Amino acid sequence: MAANSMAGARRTPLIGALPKMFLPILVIVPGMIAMALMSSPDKGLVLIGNNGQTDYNMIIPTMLVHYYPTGLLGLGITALMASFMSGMAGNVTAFNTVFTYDIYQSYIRPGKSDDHYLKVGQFATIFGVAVSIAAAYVAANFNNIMDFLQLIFAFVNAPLFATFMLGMFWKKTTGNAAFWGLLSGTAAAALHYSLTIAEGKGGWLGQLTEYPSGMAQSFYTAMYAWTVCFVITVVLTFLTKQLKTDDDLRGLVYSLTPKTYDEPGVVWYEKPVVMAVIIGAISITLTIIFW
Amino acid sequence: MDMDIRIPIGLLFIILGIILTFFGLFTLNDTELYARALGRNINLWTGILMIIFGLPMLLVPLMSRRKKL
Repeated sequence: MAANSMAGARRTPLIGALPKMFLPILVIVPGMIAMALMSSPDKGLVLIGNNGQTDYNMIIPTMLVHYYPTGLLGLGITALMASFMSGMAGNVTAFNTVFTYDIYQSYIRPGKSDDHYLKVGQFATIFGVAVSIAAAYVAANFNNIMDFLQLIFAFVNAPLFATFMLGMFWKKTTGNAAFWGLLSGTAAAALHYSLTIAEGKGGWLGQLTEYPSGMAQSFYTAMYAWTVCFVITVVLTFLTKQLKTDDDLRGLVYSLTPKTYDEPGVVWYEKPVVMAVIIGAISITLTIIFW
Repeated sequence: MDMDIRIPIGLLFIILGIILTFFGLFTLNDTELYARALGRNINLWTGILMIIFGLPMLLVPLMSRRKKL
Protein backbone atom coordinates (compact mmCIF):
# COMPACT_ATOMS: atom_id res chain seq x y z
CA MET A 1 0.00 0.00 0.00
CA ALA A 2 2.98 2.27 0.49
CA ALA A 3 4.24 1.54 -3.03
CA ASN A 4 4.72 4.55 -5.29
CA SER A 5 3.22 2.96 -8.43
CA MET A 6 1.17 0.00 -9.57
CA ALA A 7 4.27 -1.71 -10.97
CA GLY A 8 6.00 -1.08 -7.65
CA ALA A 9 3.16 -2.71 -5.76
CA ARG A 10 3.20 -5.73 -8.05
CA ARG A 11 6.96 -5.99 -7.74
CA THR A 12 7.04 -6.08 -3.93
CA PRO A 13 5.86 -9.69 -3.38
CA LEU A 14 8.19 -10.84 -6.18
CA ILE A 15 11.21 -9.17 -4.60
CA GLY A 16 10.13 -10.71 -1.30
CA ALA A 17 9.95 -14.14 -2.94
CA LEU A 18 13.61 -14.03 -3.91
CA PRO A 19 15.15 -14.19 -0.40
CA LYS A 20 12.30 -16.42 0.77
CA MET A 21 13.36 -19.01 -1.80
CA PHE A 22 16.76 -19.37 -0.16
CA LEU A 23 15.32 -19.62 3.35
CA PRO A 24 15.53 -23.46 3.37
CA ILE A 25 19.30 -23.13 2.95
CA LEU A 26 19.47 -21.01 6.10
CA VAL A 27 17.20 -23.43 7.93
CA ILE A 28 18.74 -26.71 6.84
CA VAL A 29 22.47 -26.05 6.37
CA PRO A 30 23.24 -25.11 10.02
CA GLY A 31 21.38 -28.25 11.11
CA MET A 32 23.45 -30.39 8.75
CA ILE A 33 26.67 -28.77 9.97
CA ALA A 34 25.64 -29.47 13.56
CA MET A 35 24.81 -33.10 12.69
CA ALA A 36 28.25 -33.56 11.12
CA LEU A 37 29.98 -31.94 14.11
CA MET A 38 28.06 -33.99 16.64
CA SER A 39 29.00 -37.26 14.96
CA SER A 40 32.64 -36.55 15.80
CA PRO A 41 32.69 -35.98 19.58
CA ASP A 42 36.25 -34.63 19.60
CA LYS A 43 34.92 -31.36 18.14
CA GLY A 44 33.25 -30.85 21.49
CA LEU A 45 29.85 -29.67 20.26
CA VAL A 46 27.02 -30.86 22.52
CA LEU A 47 23.48 -29.69 21.96
CA ILE A 48 21.93 -28.15 25.03
CA GLY A 49 19.54 -30.83 26.18
CA ASN A 50 15.99 -30.36 27.38
CA ASN A 51 15.81 -32.79 30.35
CA GLY A 52 18.20 -35.25 28.77
CA GLN A 53 16.76 -35.03 25.26
CA THR A 54 18.52 -33.35 22.40
CA ASP A 55 16.79 -30.08 21.67
CA TYR A 56 16.92 -29.43 17.92
CA ASN A 57 15.53 -25.93 18.27
CA MET A 58 18.66 -24.88 20.13
CA ILE A 59 21.09 -25.72 17.30
CA ILE A 60 21.77 -22.13 16.26
CA PRO A 61 22.09 -20.68 19.79
CA THR A 62 24.32 -23.60 20.80
CA MET A 63 26.59 -23.13 17.82
CA LEU A 64 26.66 -19.36 18.43
CA VAL A 65 27.81 -19.86 22.00
CA HIS A 66 30.30 -22.51 20.96
CA TYR A 67 32.04 -20.77 18.07
CA TYR A 68 31.54 -17.02 18.45
CA PRO A 69 34.02 -15.11 20.58
CA THR A 70 33.10 -12.18 22.82
CA GLY A 71 32.06 -9.34 20.56
CA LEU A 72 30.54 -11.22 17.65
CA LEU A 73 28.55 -13.31 20.12
CA GLY A 74 26.70 -10.21 21.27
CA LEU A 75 25.94 -9.26 17.68
CA GLY A 76 24.73 -12.78 16.86
CA ILE A 77 22.38 -12.94 19.81
CA THR A 78 21.13 -9.40 19.13
CA ALA A 79 20.35 -10.36 15.53
CA LEU A 80 18.54 -13.50 16.67
CA MET A 81 16.44 -11.59 19.23
CA ALA A 82 15.76 -8.76 16.75
CA SER A 83 14.43 -11.19 14.16
CA PHE A 84 12.21 -12.93 16.73
CA MET A 85 10.87 -9.60 17.96
CA SER A 86 10.22 -8.14 14.50
CA GLY A 87 8.43 -11.30 13.41
CA MET A 88 6.27 -11.28 16.50
CA ALA A 89 5.61 -7.52 16.35
CA GLY A 90 4.57 -7.82 12.70
CA ASN A 91 2.16 -10.64 13.39
CA VAL A 92 0.62 -9.03 16.47
CA THR A 93 0.16 -5.74 14.59
CA ALA A 94 -1.49 -7.58 11.72
CA PHE A 95 -3.72 -9.41 14.19
CA ASN A 96 -4.96 -6.29 15.96
CA THR A 97 -5.47 -4.41 12.67
CA VAL A 98 -7.45 -7.22 11.07
CA PHE A 99 -9.51 -7.76 14.21
CA THR A 100 -10.26 -4.09 14.88
CA TYR A 101 -10.82 -2.92 11.30
CA ASP A 102 -12.20 -5.91 9.45
CA ILE A 103 -14.13 -7.73 12.17
CA TYR A 104 -14.92 -5.38 15.04
CA GLN A 105 -15.55 -2.18 13.08
CA SER A 106 -17.27 -3.91 10.16
CA TYR A 107 -19.48 -6.41 11.94
CA ILE A 108 -19.59 -6.09 15.72
CA ARG A 109 -19.76 -2.35 16.53
CA PRO A 110 -19.76 -0.07 13.48
CA GLY A 111 -19.86 3.70 13.85
CA LYS A 112 -18.11 4.26 17.16
CA SER A 113 -15.51 6.94 17.93
CA ASP A 114 -11.85 6.58 17.03
CA ASP A 115 -10.94 6.46 20.73
CA HIS A 116 -13.15 3.42 21.15
CA TYR A 117 -11.49 1.55 18.27
CA LEU A 118 -8.06 2.52 19.56
CA LYS A 119 -8.88 0.94 22.93
CA VAL A 120 -10.20 -2.20 21.23
CA GLY A 121 -6.99 -2.35 19.19
CA GLN A 122 -4.91 -2.11 22.35
CA PHE A 123 -6.84 -4.94 23.98
CA ALA A 124 -6.50 -6.99 20.79
CA THR A 125 -2.74 -6.49 21.00
CA ILE A 126 -2.63 -7.75 24.60
CA PHE A 127 -4.81 -10.71 23.62
CA GLY A 128 -2.60 -11.46 20.60
CA VAL A 129 0.55 -11.49 22.74
CA ALA A 130 -1.18 -13.78 25.26
CA VAL A 131 -2.21 -16.18 22.46
CA SER A 132 1.33 -16.25 21.09
CA ILE A 133 2.72 -17.06 24.56
CA ALA A 134 0.21 -19.90 24.84
CA ALA A 135 1.22 -21.11 21.36
CA ALA A 136 4.84 -21.20 22.50
CA TYR A 137 3.88 -23.72 25.21
CA VAL A 138 2.09 -25.87 22.63
CA ALA A 139 5.09 -25.65 20.30
CA ALA A 140 7.36 -26.83 23.10
CA ASN A 141 5.69 -30.25 22.82
CA PHE A 142 7.02 -30.72 19.31
CA ASN A 143 10.63 -31.71 18.88
CA ASN A 144 11.17 -28.93 16.39
CA ILE A 145 9.33 -25.78 15.40
CA MET A 146 9.21 -26.69 11.70
CA ASP A 147 6.88 -29.66 12.38
CA PHE A 148 4.54 -27.47 14.41
CA LEU A 149 4.54 -24.76 11.75
CA GLN A 150 3.68 -27.21 8.97
CA LEU A 151 0.85 -28.64 11.05
CA ILE A 152 -0.64 -25.18 11.60
CA PHE A 153 -0.28 -24.43 7.88
CA ALA A 154 -2.03 -27.70 7.05
CA PHE A 155 -4.98 -26.74 9.25
CA VAL A 156 -5.25 -23.05 8.40
CA ASN A 157 -3.47 -22.20 5.15
CA ALA A 158 -4.28 -25.22 3.00
CA PRO A 159 -8.09 -24.88 3.02
CA LEU A 160 -7.76 -21.09 2.91
CA PHE A 161 -5.69 -21.41 -0.27
CA ALA A 162 -8.51 -23.32 -1.99
CA THR A 163 -11.06 -20.72 -0.86
CA PHE A 164 -8.96 -17.82 -2.07
CA MET A 165 -8.22 -19.47 -5.38
CA LEU A 166 -11.87 -20.13 -6.12
CA GLY A 167 -12.91 -16.72 -4.85
CA MET A 168 -10.39 -14.88 -6.97
CA PHE A 169 -10.73 -16.77 -10.22
CA TRP A 170 -14.29 -18.06 -10.32
CA LYS A 171 -16.95 -15.38 -10.12
CA LYS A 172 -19.78 -17.84 -9.46
CA THR A 173 -18.41 -18.82 -6.03
CA THR A 174 -20.97 -17.88 -3.37
CA GLY A 175 -20.22 -16.60 0.09
CA ASN A 176 -22.05 -19.44 1.83
CA ALA A 177 -20.22 -22.08 -0.21
CA ALA A 178 -16.88 -20.49 0.64
CA PHE A 179 -17.69 -20.36 4.34
CA TRP A 180 -18.85 -23.98 4.60
CA GLY A 181 -16.08 -25.16 2.30
CA LEU A 182 -13.46 -23.53 4.51
CA LEU A 183 -15.07 -24.94 7.64
CA SER A 184 -15.27 -28.46 6.24
CA GLY A 185 -11.70 -28.20 4.95
CA THR A 186 -10.46 -27.39 8.44
CA ALA A 187 -12.70 -30.13 9.86
CA ALA A 188 -11.22 -32.60 7.34
CA ALA A 189 -7.74 -31.60 8.49
CA ALA A 190 -8.74 -32.22 12.12
CA LEU A 191 -10.34 -35.55 11.22
CA HIS A 192 -7.32 -36.71 9.23
CA TYR A 193 -4.99 -35.64 12.02
CA SER A 194 -6.99 -37.53 14.62
CA LEU A 195 -7.19 -40.70 12.50
CA THR A 196 -3.50 -40.97 11.70
CA ILE A 197 -0.46 -41.10 13.91
CA ALA A 198 3.12 -39.95 13.48
CA GLU A 199 5.81 -39.71 16.13
CA GLY A 200 3.17 -40.36 18.77
CA LYS A 201 1.06 -37.35 17.80
CA GLY A 202 -2.49 -37.27 16.54
CA GLY A 203 -4.66 -40.38 16.43
CA TRP A 204 -7.17 -39.49 19.14
CA LEU A 205 -10.01 -41.20 17.29
CA GLY A 206 -8.22 -44.13 15.75
CA GLN A 207 -5.15 -45.19 13.92
CA LEU A 208 -5.69 -45.89 10.24
CA THR A 209 -2.12 -45.32 9.06
CA GLU A 210 1.13 -44.38 10.63
CA TYR A 211 3.37 -41.86 8.89
CA PRO A 212 7.15 -42.07 9.24
CA SER A 213 7.43 -38.42 10.30
CA GLY A 214 5.34 -35.56 11.58
CA MET A 215 6.18 -33.62 8.44
CA ALA A 216 4.65 -36.31 6.19
CA GLN A 217 1.54 -36.32 8.35
CA SER A 218 1.23 -32.53 8.03
CA PHE A 219 1.63 -32.61 4.27
CA TYR A 220 -1.04 -35.29 3.87
CA THR A 221 -3.29 -33.34 6.24
CA ALA A 222 -2.81 -30.30 4.03
CA MET A 223 -3.67 -32.26 0.89
CA TYR A 224 -6.89 -33.65 2.35
CA ALA A 225 -7.87 -30.26 3.77
CA TRP A 226 -7.31 -28.51 0.43
CA THR A 227 -9.17 -31.11 -1.59
CA VAL A 228 -12.17 -31.24 0.76
CA CYS A 229 -12.42 -27.46 0.87
CA PHE A 230 -12.17 -27.22 -2.92
CA VAL A 231 -14.76 -29.91 -3.64
CA ILE A 232 -17.27 -28.76 -1.00
CA THR A 233 -17.00 -25.14 -2.14
CA VAL A 234 -17.60 -26.08 -5.79
CA VAL A 235 -20.54 -28.39 -4.95
CA LEU A 236 -22.20 -25.89 -2.65
CA THR A 237 -21.71 -23.10 -5.17
CA PHE A 238 -24.03 -24.95 -7.54
CA LEU A 239 -26.58 -25.50 -4.76
CA THR A 240 -26.68 -21.98 -3.31
CA LYS A 241 -27.62 -18.69 -4.92
CA GLN A 242 -25.14 -15.98 -5.79
CA LEU A 243 -26.25 -12.90 -3.83
CA LYS A 244 -23.66 -10.53 -5.22
CA THR A 245 -23.92 -8.93 -8.62
CA ASP A 246 -20.98 -8.64 -10.98
CA ASP A 247 -20.65 -5.00 -9.95
CA ASP A 248 -20.07 -5.94 -6.30
CA LEU A 249 -17.24 -8.23 -7.29
CA ARG A 250 -15.41 -5.81 -9.55
CA GLY A 251 -11.84 -5.50 -8.32
CA LEU A 252 -12.10 -8.71 -6.30
CA VAL A 253 -12.51 -11.40 -8.95
CA TYR A 254 -9.87 -11.68 -11.64
CA SER A 255 -12.19 -11.93 -14.66
CA LEU A 256 -14.14 -8.83 -13.55
CA THR A 257 -11.16 -6.65 -12.80
CA PRO A 258 -9.73 -4.28 -15.39
CA LYS A 259 -6.30 -5.57 -16.37
CA THR A 260 -3.32 -3.43 -15.52
CA TYR A 261 -0.65 -2.80 -18.07
CA ASP A 262 2.94 -1.87 -17.44
CA GLU A 263 3.49 1.82 -17.59
CA PRO A 264 6.07 2.73 -20.25
CA GLY A 265 9.61 3.54 -19.23
CA VAL A 266 10.11 0.63 -16.85
CA VAL A 267 13.42 -1.18 -17.35
CA TRP A 268 12.84 -4.68 -18.72
CA TYR A 269 14.13 -6.51 -15.65
CA GLU A 270 11.80 -4.48 -13.43
CA LYS A 271 8.69 -5.64 -15.28
CA PRO A 272 6.59 -7.80 -12.95
CA VAL A 273 5.98 -10.49 -15.59
CA VAL A 274 9.66 -10.89 -16.36
CA MET A 275 10.52 -11.06 -12.67
CA ALA A 276 7.78 -13.60 -12.01
CA VAL A 277 9.03 -15.85 -14.81
CA ILE A 278 12.63 -15.61 -13.59
CA ILE A 279 11.71 -16.34 -9.99
CA GLY A 280 9.44 -19.21 -11.02
CA ALA A 281 12.23 -20.69 -13.14
CA ILE A 282 14.75 -20.44 -10.27
CA SER A 283 12.40 -22.09 -7.80
CA ILE A 284 11.60 -24.96 -10.20
CA THR A 285 15.31 -25.47 -10.84
CA LEU A 286 16.04 -25.52 -7.11
CA THR A 287 13.23 -28.01 -6.54
CA ILE A 288 14.64 -30.35 -9.19
CA ILE A 289 18.23 -30.05 -7.92
CA PHE A 290 17.26 -30.77 -4.30
CA TRP A 291 14.60 -33.40 -5.10
CA MET B 1 9.34 10.23 0.57
CA ASP B 2 11.05 11.60 3.67
CA MET B 3 12.39 8.36 5.11
CA ASP B 4 14.57 6.01 3.18
CA ILE B 5 14.94 2.62 4.87
CA ARG B 6 18.45 2.31 3.47
CA ILE B 7 19.76 5.16 5.64
CA PRO B 8 19.00 3.63 9.07
CA ILE B 9 20.13 0.19 7.82
CA GLY B 10 23.41 1.66 6.58
CA LEU B 11 23.94 3.62 9.82
CA LEU B 12 23.24 0.56 11.96
CA PHE B 13 25.67 -1.61 10.02
CA ILE B 14 28.39 1.06 10.03
CA ILE B 15 28.11 1.78 13.77
CA LEU B 16 28.08 -1.90 14.75
CA GLY B 17 30.85 -2.59 12.24
CA ILE B 18 33.06 0.14 13.72
CA ILE B 19 32.50 -1.21 17.25
CA LEU B 20 33.38 -4.75 16.14
CA THR B 21 36.41 -3.64 14.12
CA PHE B 22 37.85 -1.70 17.06
CA PHE B 23 37.16 -4.58 19.42
CA GLY B 24 38.95 -6.85 16.95
CA LEU B 25 41.93 -4.46 16.73
CA PHE B 26 42.25 -4.25 20.51
CA THR B 27 42.21 -8.03 20.83
CA LEU B 28 44.61 -8.74 17.96
CA ASN B 29 46.98 -10.84 20.07
CA ASP B 30 44.40 -12.50 22.28
CA THR B 31 44.76 -16.08 21.08
CA GLU B 32 42.79 -17.43 24.03
CA LEU B 33 39.70 -15.42 23.06
CA TYR B 34 39.79 -16.62 19.45
CA ALA B 35 40.57 -20.26 20.17
CA ARG B 36 36.86 -21.07 19.91
CA ALA B 37 36.64 -19.36 16.51
CA LEU B 38 39.37 -21.68 15.20
CA GLY B 39 42.09 -19.05 15.70
CA ARG B 40 40.73 -16.36 13.40
CA ASN B 41 40.10 -12.80 14.53
CA ILE B 42 36.48 -13.06 13.48
CA ASN B 43 35.47 -9.79 15.18
CA LEU B 44 37.82 -7.78 12.97
CA TRP B 45 36.71 -9.47 9.75
CA THR B 46 32.99 -9.27 10.48
CA GLY B 47 33.37 -5.64 11.48
CA ILE B 48 35.14 -4.76 8.22
CA LEU B 49 32.56 -6.63 6.14
CA MET B 50 29.72 -4.86 7.96
CA ILE B 51 31.27 -1.47 7.20
CA ILE B 52 31.74 -2.48 3.54
CA PHE B 53 28.05 -3.44 3.39
CA GLY B 54 26.85 -0.41 5.32
CA LEU B 55 28.70 2.32 3.37
CA PRO B 56 26.93 1.93 0.00
CA MET B 57 23.65 1.34 1.88
CA LEU B 58 24.09 4.79 3.44
CA LEU B 59 25.79 6.64 0.58
CA VAL B 60 23.59 5.66 -2.38
CA PRO B 61 20.38 7.26 -1.02
CA LEU B 62 22.31 10.29 0.22
CA MET B 63 23.86 10.83 -3.24
CA SER B 64 20.53 10.51 -5.03
CA ARG B 65 18.94 12.89 -2.57
CA ARG B 66 21.65 15.47 -3.28
CA LYS B 67 21.08 15.04 -7.01
CA LYS B 68 17.42 15.93 -6.62
CA LEU B 69 18.07 19.12 -4.67
